Amino acid sequence: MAMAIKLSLLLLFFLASILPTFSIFQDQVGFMDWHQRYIGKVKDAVFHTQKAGRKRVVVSTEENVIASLDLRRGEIFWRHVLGANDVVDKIDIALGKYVITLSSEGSILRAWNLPDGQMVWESFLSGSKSSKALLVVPANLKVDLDSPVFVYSGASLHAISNIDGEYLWKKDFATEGSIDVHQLILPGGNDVVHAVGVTGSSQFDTYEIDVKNGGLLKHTSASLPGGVYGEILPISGDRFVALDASRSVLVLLTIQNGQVHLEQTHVSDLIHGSSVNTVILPSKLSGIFSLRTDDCIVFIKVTNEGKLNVMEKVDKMVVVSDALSLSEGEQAFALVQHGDSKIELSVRLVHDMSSNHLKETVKMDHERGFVHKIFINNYVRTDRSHGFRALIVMEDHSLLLLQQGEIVWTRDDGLASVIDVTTSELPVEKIGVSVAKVEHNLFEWLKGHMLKLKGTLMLATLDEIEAIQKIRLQSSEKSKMTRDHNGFRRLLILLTRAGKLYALHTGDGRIVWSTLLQSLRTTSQQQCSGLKLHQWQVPHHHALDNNPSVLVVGRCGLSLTSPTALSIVDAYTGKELPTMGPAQHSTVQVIPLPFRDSTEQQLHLLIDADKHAHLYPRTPEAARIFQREAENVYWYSVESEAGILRGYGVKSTHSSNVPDEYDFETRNLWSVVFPSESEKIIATVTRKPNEVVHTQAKVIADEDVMYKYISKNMVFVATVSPKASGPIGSATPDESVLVVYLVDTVTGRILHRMTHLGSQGPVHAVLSENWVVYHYFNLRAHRYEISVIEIYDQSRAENKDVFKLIVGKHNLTTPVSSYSRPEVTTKSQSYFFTHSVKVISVSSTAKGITSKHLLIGTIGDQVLALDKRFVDPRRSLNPTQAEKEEGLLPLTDTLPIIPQSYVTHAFKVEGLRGIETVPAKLESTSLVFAYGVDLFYTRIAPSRTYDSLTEDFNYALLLLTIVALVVAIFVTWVLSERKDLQEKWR
Amino acid sequence: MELTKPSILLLLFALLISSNLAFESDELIADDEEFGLEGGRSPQIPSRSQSPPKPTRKRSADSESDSRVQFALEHAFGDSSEFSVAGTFTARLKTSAHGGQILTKLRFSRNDLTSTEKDEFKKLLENDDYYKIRLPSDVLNAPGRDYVISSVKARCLPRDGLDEHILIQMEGVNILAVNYGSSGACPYPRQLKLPTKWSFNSHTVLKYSELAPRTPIFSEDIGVVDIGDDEGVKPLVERSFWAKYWMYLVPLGLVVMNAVTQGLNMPEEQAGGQTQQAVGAVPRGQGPAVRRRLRRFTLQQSCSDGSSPSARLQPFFQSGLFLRWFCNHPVLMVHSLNDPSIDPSVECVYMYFYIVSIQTVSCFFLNS
Repeated sequence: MAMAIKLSLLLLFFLASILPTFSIFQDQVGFMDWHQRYIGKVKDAVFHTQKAGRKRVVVSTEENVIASLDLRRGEIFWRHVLGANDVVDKIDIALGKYVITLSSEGSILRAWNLPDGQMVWESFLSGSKSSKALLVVPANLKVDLDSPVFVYSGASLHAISNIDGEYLWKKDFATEGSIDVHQLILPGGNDVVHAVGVTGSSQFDTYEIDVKNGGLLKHTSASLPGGVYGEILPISGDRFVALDASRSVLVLLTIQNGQVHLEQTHVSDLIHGSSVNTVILPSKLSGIFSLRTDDCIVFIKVTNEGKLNVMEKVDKMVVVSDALSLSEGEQAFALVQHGDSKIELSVRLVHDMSSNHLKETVKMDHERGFVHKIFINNYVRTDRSHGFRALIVMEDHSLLLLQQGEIVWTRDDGLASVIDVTTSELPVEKIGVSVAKVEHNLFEWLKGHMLKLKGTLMLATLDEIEAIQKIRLQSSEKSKMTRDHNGFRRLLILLTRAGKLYALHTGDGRIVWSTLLQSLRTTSQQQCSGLKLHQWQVPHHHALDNNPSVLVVGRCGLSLTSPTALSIVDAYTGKELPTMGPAQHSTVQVIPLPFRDSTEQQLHLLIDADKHAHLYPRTPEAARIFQREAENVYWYSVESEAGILRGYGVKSTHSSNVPDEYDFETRNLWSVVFPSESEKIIATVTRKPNEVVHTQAKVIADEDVMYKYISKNMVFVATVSPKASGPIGSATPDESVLVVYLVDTVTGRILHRMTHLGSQGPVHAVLSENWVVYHYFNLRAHRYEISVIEIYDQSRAENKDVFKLIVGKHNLTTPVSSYSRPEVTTKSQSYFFTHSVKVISVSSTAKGITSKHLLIGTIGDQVLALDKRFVDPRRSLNPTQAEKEEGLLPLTDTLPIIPQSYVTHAFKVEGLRGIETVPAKLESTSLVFAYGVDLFYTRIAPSRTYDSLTEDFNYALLLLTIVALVVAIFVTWVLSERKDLQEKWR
Repeated sequence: MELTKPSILLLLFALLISSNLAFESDELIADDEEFGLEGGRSPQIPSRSQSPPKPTRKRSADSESDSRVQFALEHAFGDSSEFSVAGTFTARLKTSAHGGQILTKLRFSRNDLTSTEKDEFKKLLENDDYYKIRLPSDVLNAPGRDYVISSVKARCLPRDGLDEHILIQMEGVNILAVNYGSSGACPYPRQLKLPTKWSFNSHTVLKYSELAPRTPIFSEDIGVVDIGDDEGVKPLVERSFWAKYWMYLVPLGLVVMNAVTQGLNMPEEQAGGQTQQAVGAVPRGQGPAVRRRLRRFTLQQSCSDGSSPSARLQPFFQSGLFLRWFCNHPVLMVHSLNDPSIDPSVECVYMYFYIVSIQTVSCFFLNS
């Protein structure tokens, strides 16, 4: 009887642990995931501090974000991410309550409500031809007037009502000849708007246009014999300055009584010394302009007589802000000078350039690089004098607010432009914890446990529950800097567009270290940018004392043949290791080889534009290892423009024209030429190199076995007919054909080829194990589709007999060669899918046992987890009993979108660009990192956490069971003793 | 009736062919003979049926003369040598009603290897180097944009002669790719083997793209097929007895198995006791204690030393082998029958742990 009870108790315990946990509960948010919001590198900023309430600044960024930031803390009040093609040109604030943005080359004008970011109105401006986009918002017009916003775009001037975005009038400049308008000026108090520009690069024109109806009032023009370089800059109401085409003569234009007077001054007369790259800086300072020459920045004052006076020369790394009008006639601007680990901010008044109005020195982390931009704003101090705050944008795209000589807040907005991601293990925990630390935390620890106990016993008040939640979130366990048993704690190493490397802790997303890579810094001679991030050294067996490191490959210059920048960075400290200098060759492809040297450095092959292979690390040992395996190293290149796929191998013999033993000549082994008139490559996808496949066999319903064709050398290629390569709707179903290929990259063999009629891209695909899933648009059905191809190896299909397997008569252990003729069969199926997709990825686990989830980045910037079983090609309308047992789902025409299976639950990863999955050590779990403008990290368990207890595991029941068992053991022991005694007495 | 299956198939095939031939005009038969395939495998031509039926002799003769296409196969030995002509493909160009052109009736004639070529090939075999071939990417105005190259380790080719298998992937009149290799396997440690006969044994196949299967479009009522994720009313399907009660049956079975072993051990014990009684020399009080010890011993043995059938399986249970076998055996995964939302791979792991722990627990209780 007792046993039955115990058994049922045990059963209960097992049943409790089987309960499914698909999605997470509300209180689990933030427990294993984090979400960070960024805006990107700030391009333009407009302050809004008129009201005493919440002070804010509105910024537009290079990630096409418009955001309103809190000036006191740097937090985002609201934010809008415009599409990738909707580049923000200008922003401004109108009427003190609307943010006006001009985007998409001046074709879309929007007004957003300043307090909450709601869109108020939107107007589409059509122009006859593309041109510069200019926006002028009148500042001084009376509010009761229906004050228009003036936009110059598409070679015409538009006036748009401030209140509702209504179209008031349009003045087309295309009829006036090919004028290129440089400036729109709205002189205060006047009813005219001035458009200043250049016609045909040698004629200066100004137009005065009536604000009321767009009528042309006056047109003055003058010929510019020297042409114009750059833009015409207004100095004051009737004075303009320009640089001639040779960049050596300054032209001062003065308009008097409808006549234009030209006055030419040689730059060399002003600055004494020649300068080639002279530029007029676009900072608008009244009466003054600034000129950047080869070695300095010169401030030049224009006197009333039209004379140019050099006022000051400063270092050329100085950054100048726009002028800020303080009070009547008074203007100030800021200069930032970069010193050694500090920056100097000085504010000067325009009419009094001689002295600094304000000079502050701020300590600056040198990992932030130089100052790129500065925006200043003033406020009234408690003593009624003018105070200034400055918003500065640094080289690493971070945004800082300086005030009173201090950094008030910083935002690491470089993280909005992640290029590549890799992960690194954390250091192994050192044995021995300092006692002081424990004692210090003892009270806290006890308190925490008391709180938790209260929570468990449901005695906690609301505040206490909140505190418990906080403790749970901040539990040191998950943000520790050591390796954990489950492999959840890691460093995410991110390479950003600014050439900065960040290491983020997966536990809470904090920045552990960040390094501005010196080898990737853009100098005046060359523009460097990061390309790829690879694991360089993963200490495993031999070199456990070494820290892991990552390899950053960059390119200095814009063309493919530009030299390579290489850098190796310690993953624990973020220090750049000095072992690698810049490379002379270019890099178009980086191939991590599956070989390691004795210090566990991964061998890499860098392919340059001339198809030479360069081996790294450059050690004799690596060369020896590579020479041994060079025979079996193959790679391929995709020439999308030419529509050619080429395969290469390393030339075995050394020829004389290769400089050293680490450079190898390559040879073309195969090529696939897509006919240019009917096919254009739009997508190529390969398997992840580190993917693990657990079993090569798949047991199907009738106890039959299918062998997966698992080849690491498989590439998926999608081509469309050239007409259909444009956006959806640009081609008719008859002219658009999508062809998909599975190509073996060693031999160039086309393993499978399939045509989708009436379909077109964009194609997003993921290749894993023996299947590929791809997403495209079906023009005939007017819907998106997801198709799957699974590829099976027929040559192993005979190995079904268990007897044969036991005796060893099978070919499962024979090495697979790509040179053997493959006998493959494929199965495929298409399904409709509601969403359009930005990116597709797949979950990856340590051993590959756990079933897979497709991770689909939807157009709504969320990540949807879709079970791979939904895109099984073997689904049929009425699965047999055996197939049901196997877990095959009945066929549907559409893939379901289950709201609970959004991995990102309530969050949006704005501007989603990539989803990276990393296996945890725990087989059931996969770490997911999605990046775009935002960052999001979580862990997913596609088959639920079957190998560990869930967070909400009922420990109480387990304890109860154990106690009951112990009691039962004692009782039975006593009983048996007693029985024994009785028997002895018998 | 000794007709086996293959022979019936052969007969059917022959009938099919003969009926086909009967349908076509005699002119075409001659054509077939003329463009007979060397490789033995028929090219996979999807739009063969689109050819205009029964063309008149005159017209077809005219179109034939200008629709014959020739293109060269070129080969190279290793990196150093240049490409040279190795053979010629001849094919017929067919124009379909839509204006699309395809090649049919591919025929390949390979030039004999010259003595220098033989030497070079031998060198390739010794160095385990590549034998390369190339074809023009456009057969009408060769070489088109670029050559389509393929290469193979030379050691893959020799059998008796030199076996080659050429699969040409076509798109209209363009050659997309050529897959060149041996017709069979070429396992990795490639052995050096010289062919006995220095002539190529060629198999050529033309391949066009296949169409993707259409997405099934269901009418609305079928579209609402239950996929196990919506909480709509699911039809209650009666599950089998085993599917319902396996979790009780499994421990019961184990317990019974263990108990049976115990029962089998009991008579022995009884017998031992009786002999003891018969001898009578042993003091009375000691009897039960010894018996108990003995019983305990046998039971312990039954669970750990493998005298019980279930205990014998214990090491098998505990090894991952069982898990793998279990997880790959669909018959056992009965419980997830009607719930497709449950992942079978997970369920079997749960079940596995369940059974193993039940086994351990039942052993423990029988022991105590």
